[in-house]
Amino acid sequence: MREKYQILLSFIKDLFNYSLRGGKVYHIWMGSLTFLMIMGAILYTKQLESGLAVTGMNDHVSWGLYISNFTFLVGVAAAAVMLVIPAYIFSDLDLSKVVLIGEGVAVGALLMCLAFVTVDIGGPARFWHLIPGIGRLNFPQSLLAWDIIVLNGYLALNLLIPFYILINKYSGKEPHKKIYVPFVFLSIFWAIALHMVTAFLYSGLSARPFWNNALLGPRFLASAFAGGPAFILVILGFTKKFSDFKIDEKILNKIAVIIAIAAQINLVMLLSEVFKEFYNATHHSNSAIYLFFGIGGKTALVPWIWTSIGLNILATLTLTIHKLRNIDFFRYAACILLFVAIWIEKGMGLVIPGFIPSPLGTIVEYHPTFIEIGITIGIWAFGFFVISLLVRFGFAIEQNIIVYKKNE
Amino acid sequence: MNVTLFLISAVFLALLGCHPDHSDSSKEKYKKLTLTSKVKVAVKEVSNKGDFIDWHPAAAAGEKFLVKKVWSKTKRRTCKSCHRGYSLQEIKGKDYPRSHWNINLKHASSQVMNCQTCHNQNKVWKFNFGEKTVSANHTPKLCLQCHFKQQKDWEIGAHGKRANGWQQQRAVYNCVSCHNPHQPAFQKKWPKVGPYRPINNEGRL
Amino acid sequence: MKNYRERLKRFFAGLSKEDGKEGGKENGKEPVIKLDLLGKKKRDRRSFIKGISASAGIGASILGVGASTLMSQEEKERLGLSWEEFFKTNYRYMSGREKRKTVKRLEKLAKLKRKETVTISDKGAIPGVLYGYAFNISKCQGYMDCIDACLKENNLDRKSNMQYIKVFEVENGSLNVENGDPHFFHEVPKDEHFYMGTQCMHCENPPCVPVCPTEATWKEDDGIVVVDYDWCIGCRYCEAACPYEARRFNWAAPLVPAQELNTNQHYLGNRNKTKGVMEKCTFCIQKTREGENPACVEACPTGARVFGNLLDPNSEIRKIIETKKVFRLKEELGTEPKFWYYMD
Repeated sequence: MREKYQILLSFIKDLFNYSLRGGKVYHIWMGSLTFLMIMGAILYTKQLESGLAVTGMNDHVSWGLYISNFTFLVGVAAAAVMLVIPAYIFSDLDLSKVVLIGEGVAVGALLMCLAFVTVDIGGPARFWHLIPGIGRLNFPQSLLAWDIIVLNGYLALNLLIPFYILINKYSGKEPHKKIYVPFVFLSIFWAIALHMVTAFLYSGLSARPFWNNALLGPRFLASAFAGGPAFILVILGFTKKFSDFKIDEKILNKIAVIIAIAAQINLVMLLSEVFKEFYNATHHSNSAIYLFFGIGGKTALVPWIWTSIGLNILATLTLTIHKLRNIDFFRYAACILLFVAIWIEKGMGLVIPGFIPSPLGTIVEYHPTFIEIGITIGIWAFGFFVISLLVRFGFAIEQNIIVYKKNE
Repeated sequence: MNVTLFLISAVFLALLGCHPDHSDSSKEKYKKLTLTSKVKVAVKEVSNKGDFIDWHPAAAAGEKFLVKKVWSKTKRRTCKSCHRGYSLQEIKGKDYPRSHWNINLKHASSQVMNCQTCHNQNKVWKFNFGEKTVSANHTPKLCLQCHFKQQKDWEIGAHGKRANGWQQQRAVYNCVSCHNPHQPAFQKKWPKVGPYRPINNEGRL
Repeated sequence: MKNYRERLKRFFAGLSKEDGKEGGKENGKEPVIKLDLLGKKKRDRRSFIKGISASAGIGASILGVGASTLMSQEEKERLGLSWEEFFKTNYRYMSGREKRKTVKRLEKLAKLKRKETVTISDKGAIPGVLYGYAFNISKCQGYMDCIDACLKENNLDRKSNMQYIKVFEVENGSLNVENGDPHFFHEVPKDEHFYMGTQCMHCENPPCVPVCPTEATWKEDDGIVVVDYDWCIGCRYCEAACPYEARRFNWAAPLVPAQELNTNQHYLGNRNKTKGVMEKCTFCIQKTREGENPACVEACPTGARVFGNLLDPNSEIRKIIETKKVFRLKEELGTEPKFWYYMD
């Protein structure tokens, strides 16, 4: 027991030390992220002082930049499981090494999600009202209650499984498959549940016809499984090119194929939604009309959605064509474009138009303020910070750079 | 795989459990709203009964209710309250200049209505009601001669205004409490408050 | 002091060198650095933690003593009350005694924090009552006396011009409130237009209640959908779920001028709210539970608004529903609102 405690302590110490070491690029990167995080924190204190009136949200568009990013990042987190499925189900050992990276990204994305929810609610000190037992959690009626449980459970899974595997690798032992594989299967199911629950919290609202459709859940899954692995692929490509860590080219090819398929499915779903809204447009389609064409001269979102669709189609085509997909530049450029396109689509293309027009027909447009954007960038910086740390740790332990030494 | 199936079905059943009851049609629900409760809510008595008269509605509309008096003892206007210094004979005489010149009658066409349609010529404190007269506090009888369409509405509460709380014995306002009998239509005016949350182009406050 | 500087130097020296003070190079790769944070080899973790916790304890007690001598009796009472208020439970699940205690605390806090003398009622629902509301769209002229009375009665935030009631100016030709304009400000009534007012419909099947993650909003036994302002975390999910735009969020701290404050308050009604909580029309719960009509009903100069007990067969609201041609907004959503519209 004492030895396990010692291993744990030295694990933490070694990782802490390792996080402080690195080349110039690493220090500049982490330094600038820290700067952005501090800026975000300062702006958040302004928001705590004056209330959410410093944001661009109002009673009509009551969820804005924060919840848009939250929705998108839940998808990114759920997508880590896309790498887990082939690794474990098809016993494809190639991917097992990079699965840890996916789970590191998932943890970063989940922490960002929790941060976005915290900055969005009006009374963050009252979060304890949500804890069942001390407060009152409205489970199973409220989909938000489901989301809180599923999110935190997924975070726990994504922390504990890699922790178990890594600490065993670190101390030179082999992780027992019997212990972690059931949890891996659970995390596959859980990731899908996570994103479906997040989709249900939108699609369950009968007051918002733009969201109240059956395709929202599957659409969320498709766009998540395109956007999340795209992000992971870019990280892997970056790591391969600029560091000493070894990554097999076959793995990168496999992930690129997965992304291509998911992006194609996403486009098919987009087509289906567009057809339903525009073939025989009813007043329920007003939100879609506002989004794609604008209503009464209010066209703030129109350039965003068309850019998103353009980038999406371009990226999907690039990834579909074998020759292009295998050229590094096109592959990674397409991934970045796809990530950006899906970010726009989930945020500005889904959350905001759901509120415009309002249930009684008023059109009020949404423009985020400087403080809102600053806090958002701060939280993204925090997420990248965590992901950078965890990805580095994962690689370092996998490739035996950090090993437990018994000398004390 | 079995574990997964079990979990999925458990979730599905849990979701079914929290489904609100939509089994009744809308009509059934509406009927539930109009059920009478077994608990009787106490009716609070009106404290200032002297300010109201009793009104017995036409057969179908239900029990009697109170109507606010137009002229209570304190508010009654006598001729002398405006016409000071003249005797009643002088006021009624032919040489007395035309009175109430500032009252513009915008009620009905001049072919059907003039001052004498309502005001009794001999008893100025009374109002004509067929061949009889009624006092000022019973003028609804007068109005409802022509405005028979509003009678049922007024008696059930769809027209007019409640003068006291929902829990008290029902008391409503008289016709002339809201409608100036010489110009009954509501006038145009500016709204009392500005629009809510003045929204600028950017949607911010 | 010099000793400490030495220690710090050694600490940073240990970080930057390739081979650290302890442990040598391993396989030519980056060595594992065994770092002792205080720079001394002999000191072990146990005494380190002891030192930290001792200094923390001393610091905290100094703070406590300093604070109690520096704060006045009033401030201490205020902090104590605020502390108790912060940790209370959801009003819906409080016992009668707890409810009475919390309203007493809130009355005291109002006095201490804002110098207001208020009475906050914790009166429950009257048994055998289900409130209903009717709105006559032939009568409404758009005067907005209702809105004026409502914001005064319910202590609504003046800075953001918060209003529970919205009056839509709709052009003749369609009975659709969504075609209406709620932002009009000109002489009313406008020709060839009519007016429809909306507010919280107090649905029998409210879509805003099941979505709240903390059960901060619920439907009371007399049919009024209420919010516990001290329990709401401000997630605004109910605002997204409401089909009638009934909910209002306090984006900033609400401000009511002291001379316009209505001191006759109810816990679930018009009492003071902090920023970051949801509120909405409560059918003037502070008035209706005492047998009076809501402020909007009393203020309307044309008598377009009717209020009463749906369970009383002799009430005006029942007679209107049974006799007139009534309709409700968005009935297809199955929310069963208790707010009917009718025409002459």
